Amino acid sequence: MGFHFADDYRARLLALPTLLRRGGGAPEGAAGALKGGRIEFKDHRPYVQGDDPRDIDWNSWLRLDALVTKEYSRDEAPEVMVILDRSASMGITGEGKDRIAREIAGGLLYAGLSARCPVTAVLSAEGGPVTLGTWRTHRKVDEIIAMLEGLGECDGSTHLTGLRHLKPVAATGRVAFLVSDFLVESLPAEVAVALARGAGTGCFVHVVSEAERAPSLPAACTLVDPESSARMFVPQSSALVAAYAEELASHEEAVAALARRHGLGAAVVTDAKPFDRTVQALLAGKRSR
Amino acid sequence: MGFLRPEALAILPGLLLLLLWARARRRRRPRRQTTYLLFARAQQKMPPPPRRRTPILTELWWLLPAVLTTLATAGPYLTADELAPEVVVLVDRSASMATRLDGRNRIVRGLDRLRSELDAPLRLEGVPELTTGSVERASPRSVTDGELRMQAAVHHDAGRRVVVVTDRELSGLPDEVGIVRVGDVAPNAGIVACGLDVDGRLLVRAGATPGWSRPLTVRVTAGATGLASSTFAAKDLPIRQVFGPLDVPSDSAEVVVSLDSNDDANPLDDRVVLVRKSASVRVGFPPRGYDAIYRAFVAHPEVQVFRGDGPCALRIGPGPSARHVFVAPRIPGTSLGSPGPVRGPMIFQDAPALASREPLALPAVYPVTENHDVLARIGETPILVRDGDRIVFLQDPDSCDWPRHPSFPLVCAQCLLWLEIGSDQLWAVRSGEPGGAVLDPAATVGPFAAVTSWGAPRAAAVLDERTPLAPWLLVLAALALVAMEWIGARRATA
Repeated sequence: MGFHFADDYRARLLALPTLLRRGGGAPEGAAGALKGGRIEFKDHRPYVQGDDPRDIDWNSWLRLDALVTKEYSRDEAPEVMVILDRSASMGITGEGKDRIAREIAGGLLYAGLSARCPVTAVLSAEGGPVTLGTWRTHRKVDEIIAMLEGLGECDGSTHLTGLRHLKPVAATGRVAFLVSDFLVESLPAEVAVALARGAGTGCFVHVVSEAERAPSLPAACTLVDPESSARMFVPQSSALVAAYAEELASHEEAVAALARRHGLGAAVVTDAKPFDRTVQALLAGKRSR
Repeated sequence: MGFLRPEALAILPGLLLLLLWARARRRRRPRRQTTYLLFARAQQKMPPPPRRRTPILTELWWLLPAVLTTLATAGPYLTADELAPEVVVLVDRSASMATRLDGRNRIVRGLDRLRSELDAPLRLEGVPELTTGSVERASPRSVTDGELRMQAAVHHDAGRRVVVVTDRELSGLPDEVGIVRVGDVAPNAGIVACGLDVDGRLLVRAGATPGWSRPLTVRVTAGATGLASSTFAAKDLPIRQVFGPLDVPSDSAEVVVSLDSNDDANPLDDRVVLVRKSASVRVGFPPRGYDAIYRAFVAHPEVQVFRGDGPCALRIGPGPSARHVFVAPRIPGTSLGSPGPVRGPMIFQDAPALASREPLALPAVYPVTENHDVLARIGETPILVRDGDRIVFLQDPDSCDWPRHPSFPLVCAQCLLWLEIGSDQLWAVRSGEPGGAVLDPAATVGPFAAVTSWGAPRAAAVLDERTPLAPWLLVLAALALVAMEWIGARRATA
């Protein structure tokens, strides 16, 4: 049985630009001001690995003995890229995190189109990113919806590391949104580097469902990992659930810290609010919880 | 507290096993957890949990609705023995109560009606055959109205609540005594009366319900020998036929009179057995006097009464006999004090069924100084005593109202039993079966025979006043379900 958005999803999607204008949201809002381009100097920021050496301000280096990169504002629309994690940990089709991810992705893509940005949907896969489609006009909203509804079941392991092979950022810049639960053994720093490289910026959209925040487990049960099929018997779930809550908070903090280290934005999105409100908060630069 | 269907409680261990099975299955059933990675990290950081088995007590809560429903199925009830008086159900088991309609006899129909009217569990004790509904469970004996009244009065006087199940119209009962009267118009034919005299002539009377349209055949046999047979058309009913004199074989102890009535409603009145006996009970009276006792013995079906001299098993007053009944103050060799009035209910030492419900007023009761066995008394005053083979009425029955009381002829008949005098009638009806010679028309129920029987059969059933708990348990089960649903929803939202 395939996935279908709610009946009012399309209508809410079309009303999203109005909502964003009221709230002051922009595609790059979650990642801070868009950098890149060579039109007009805007600001300095510390150098990070992957920055174009041409942007290093050597005068500042001589003066401060520290590498500083110059940033420029641009007058050409950057590319908006939405990267979807479709690993098995994203849940059952149409439920929980899968639904959040599809709705948020559709909202981000349409918000980009409404800001006259070209948008691209990308799938993170083991061999590297797989482009699902590129659109340049908001009249393609139905294609985007059809693409999102046509996504298959979430299965397999999480392969974020393949994103280091993302195509180079164009001079016009890129705002990349990585929609994932980031449930991997070690968080991929190289992905953050890839997203922030050059004129690119991005945002980690950390998807956590409400059911994951407050899991309801029987007193004793057997848990199975949907990715690796590993099993774990829980003799007393109450104590474990308390420790799990701390672990989840720590995980969210780790994801946010990784994003901060690389100048990226980070937001946690849940299914507690309608997707359009979540997208509005995300693009306004606020953390969505 | 008790259960009407305790066998239903056997389900409870099954429910426990079901819970254990479900618990083990739930523990082993894999739960797909998207955040397994975080759970695994959390468990690694936790100290190993103590090896303690999860208590099952908390999970027993989920069994509550099923347990309550099972308990309700078992029919629990609360008894209030101290508060509620015992209820005695007197069931008339006479032959007419065997009349069937739609496969159920009058006893079963009467008890069913009693159950519906009481609207309470009815537990029959001591007479399990009453619950089977088999027509053979009715007694071939008969019961008179007076006996039924007396039985009811005995229990009523003892402070019990009494309900009589019968097919006759009883009158004269206390208002507190309930009656469940069961009747029908089932087509039936039966022998109303029959008797064999010393000359071998057999009198047979038979009748049928109105509308009976089939012929009736009367057959008389002695062992394998047929003595007489005759068929009567329906228009000739009721039958009053004399057969004989019959040539009864000298070695035959029984003569059977049967009626071929083709599966009518009551089979018990289709056959009468006459048994040969050696002699009758002869009771001798003085040429005059003792009128009340005389009338009582005349009514006895197994007693031959005469006045004057002659051999007899029992002599009323002085005369040649081994056993006597005297009336004060005509007791030879006994000194009596001054008589005094006595009033109150009569109490019998070893025959409580004879007890009077209404108080008797005896104007002159003589005291006895000798050490007699007291057979009956009013209060602490003896009114009937026994001295060896003599029974003494300590008042003159001809001078008081006691003989008008229904118990008086029964007391006179009881004297034969107290003095151990057996029946020696020539042709006696076998215990309680219909017999023509002694038929009391007043005791006839419908078209069926009913003979006064001195050993009144009685079937008593104890009815506890019980409060059924099943409806409350079902309500509790429903509330438990609602509570579980509410708690489950609350946990889900929390």
